[in-house]
Amino acid sequence: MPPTETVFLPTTVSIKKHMLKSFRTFDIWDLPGQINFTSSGYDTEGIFGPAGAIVWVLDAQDNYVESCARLFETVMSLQQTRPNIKFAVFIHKTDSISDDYREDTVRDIQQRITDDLDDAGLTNPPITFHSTSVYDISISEALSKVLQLLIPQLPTFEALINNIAVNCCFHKLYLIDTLTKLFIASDTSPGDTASYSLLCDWFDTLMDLADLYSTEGQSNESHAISERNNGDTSNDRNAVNGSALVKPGATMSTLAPPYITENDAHSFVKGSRGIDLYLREITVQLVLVGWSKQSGFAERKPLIDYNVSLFSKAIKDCLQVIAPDPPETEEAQSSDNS
Amino acid sequence: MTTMTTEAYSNRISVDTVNPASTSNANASPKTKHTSEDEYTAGKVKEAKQKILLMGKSGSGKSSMRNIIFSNFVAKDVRRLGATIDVERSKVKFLGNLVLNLWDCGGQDAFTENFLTSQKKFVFDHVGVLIYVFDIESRETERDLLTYIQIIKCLEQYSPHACVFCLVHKMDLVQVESRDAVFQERRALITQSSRSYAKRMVSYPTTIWDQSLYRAWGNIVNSLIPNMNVIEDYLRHLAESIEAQEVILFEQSTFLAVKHIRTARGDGSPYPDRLERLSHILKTFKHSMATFTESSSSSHQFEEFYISAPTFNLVISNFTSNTCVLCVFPPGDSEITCARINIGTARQEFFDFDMPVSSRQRSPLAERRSPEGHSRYNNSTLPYKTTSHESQQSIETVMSMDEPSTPRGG
Ligand SMILES: Nc1nc2c(ncn2[C@@H]2O[C@H](COP(=O)(O)OP(=O)(O)OP(=O)(O)O)[C@@H](O)[C@H]2O)c(=O)[nH]1
Ligand SMILES: Nc1nc2c(ncn2[C@@H]2O[C@H](COP(=O)(O)OP(=O)(O)OP(=O)(O)O)[C@@H](O)[C@H]2O)c(=O)[nH]1
Ligand SMILES: [Mg+2]
Ligand SMILES: [Mg+2]
Repeated sequence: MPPTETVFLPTTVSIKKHMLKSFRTFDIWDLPGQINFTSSGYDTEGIFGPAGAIVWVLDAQDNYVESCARLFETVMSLQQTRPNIKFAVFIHKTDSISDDYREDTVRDIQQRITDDLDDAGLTNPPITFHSTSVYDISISEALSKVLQLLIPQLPTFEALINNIAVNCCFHKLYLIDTLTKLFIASDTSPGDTASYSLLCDWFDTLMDLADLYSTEGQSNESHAISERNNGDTSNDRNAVNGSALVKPGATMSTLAPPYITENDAHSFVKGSRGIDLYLREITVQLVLVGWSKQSGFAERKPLIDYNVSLFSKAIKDCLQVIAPDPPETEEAQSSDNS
Repeated sequence: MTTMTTEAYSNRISVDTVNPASTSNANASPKTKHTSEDEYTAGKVKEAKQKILLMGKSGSGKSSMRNIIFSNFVAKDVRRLGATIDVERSKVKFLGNLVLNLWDCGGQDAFTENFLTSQKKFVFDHVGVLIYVFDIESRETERDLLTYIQIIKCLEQYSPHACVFCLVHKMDLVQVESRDAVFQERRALITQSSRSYAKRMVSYPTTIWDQSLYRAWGNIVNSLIPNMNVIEDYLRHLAESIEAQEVILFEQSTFLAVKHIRTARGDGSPYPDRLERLSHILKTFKHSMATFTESSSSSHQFEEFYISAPTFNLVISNFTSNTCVLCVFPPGDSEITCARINIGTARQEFFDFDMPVSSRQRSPLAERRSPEGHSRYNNSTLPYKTTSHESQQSIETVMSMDEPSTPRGG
């Protein structure tokens, strides 16, 4: 849905549950903003019991004091029963605030909430803050960070991506979900919105082009990741160690063909300003995208492909381990428009 | 070789009708196939004389379209444009040897009045193309048509052979379901008012918010390109060599499609609007790249772009200094390698396209300037085939070949 059409959305009156199907399933519950669910009379345990994270949406355009107070109440009441729930506060509609004023607003809200919780004895609250807007990539970036809170294997993914990034001279690398373009992991160098925005735009370009020419519609195939009920996470370590990356100095002859399987879609852009883009499909749900400004990056592409194949295999191994989602991680999204 | 089909644009106009000057030229018999020499001369004459008038009511969106197509504005930027005063003249280089002499005429009544009286000869002399823009939102349809008739009368007087294109613009303001009906109705009215141009006048529905803009402008600009059959020969040769299902040549800065070849290898049911969709998609991507690199979006943003998917391969590659070529061909990694080598070779042949004809060389590639150390490919003729094993070995060579051998003609 284009952002301009959100004006026509009706107000939510009952809990709406959405399923986000990626390499694993996330449930998103959209809660009506007009009801206070922590007050007695609601099944608090039923609503928040299975939640892994709560997204609290603050309208930065509006008077947010009341909403902050309600957030405070909710955090305090849930801290007693379910201390593991993580909160992400989206300071939303920041597009409508002028540039200079925006930072002040964000800082003010952040200060207000942490101070209140601090006074109440909660010194290290599980809260993160994000300034968001539906008119740019910031909302996807913030939601990505929330998803990452719920992925226990995140450190493994990040270690693998860092490994690739360093060895292949990527400046930024993301593992993104093909359906939503949210990134479930990235290398741990300081994130920047510009990179993410460019790579998402590029991914859109690729999808549009594929739409014109792939008559078979390869991206819409059904794609169940093999279900192997194995809760053992120690394999994750092996996956990292198992990827014996080839250093860029290696000669071509050491690489045994074929290092790209026919089915892994991949794409490459050699930019005119020394910026090269790289994309490789890992699974139907996940692609690795990144960019580099290293000179000679394009010439080294065969080596990068080889390394990424190993990376791809490692990620697939990880996914097989986590494929069954038994203790279902769910996410409740509470919107508040006060 | 497999037989090939080409879909010609429905409304291409031959060189001779566009430019009265070339009819009176030495080209005695239009039936015989022009030699390249003649084509080139024709191009030269056109360069000197071609004038494109952009007219229509004030606020109808003339300058908006011009800036999006030729100055790389994004659609939401055009709100900042002020009304055009008098005439804004710009020379747009297209494909190296074609210069579009664009006259964006301010549409306010006072200016229009001048064009129809004191500046009449100055404005309407030597017009190759008139593009007249109707604002679908306008409430005074009748008055708009009366102005149009007056303009048409002046054109008849000074440039009777000019081509007339009418754009029914801002179609985004009409509900999707009724767009076609509204357009057909308006088209009928415009045709009635077109006098002696009625049969030749071509009209398009447009909006700056989707690819319809590229469809209209792509076809307009295409009607002006002189040596289309030479271009077609080159592209067909390339398409054969890489067994492509489609080869499309785009102008580099506007991303308007110049020519496309579809071979029998395609699946017979391509999207009919894919050319303008491609223009739209690629231009959007170019803007993203420009934003990221903080550079002007009118400059080149990428040299090569390829996608290898399970069902197809697609390569977009800089071709001449003013064009890039898009090729779609069957999947496979060795196919990509092979295609890139052949595109490189074809680029060498084609780049003389911007040059005087006398220095043009078709294959064999006698004059190729390849960097040393790649002599392996020097004598290769199209098509270059690889086995899949060989392709892996040669990737590096191919890569380094691209840069130094890219000609910057013009
Ligand atoms: N300027 C701006 N407006 C936004 C943004 N996001 C949403 N809106 C507008 O805010 C309004 C309310 O959006 P909804 O998503 O329906 O709000 P909600 O939180 O679901 O509200 P309830 O269902 O009543 O709880 C709509 O008119 C949106 O167009 C944003 O980032 N910037
Ligand atoms: N909705 C809509 N608005 C458009 C479209 N194209 C242009 N506009 C708007 O129309 C307004 C006028 O556009 P201009 O391009 O300056 O008009 P013009 O024809 O050059 O006007 P003069 O220079 O006075 O003759 C601008 O504010 C644009 O935002 C379109 O396709 N759809
Ligand atoms: Mg709602
Ligand atoms: Mg104007």
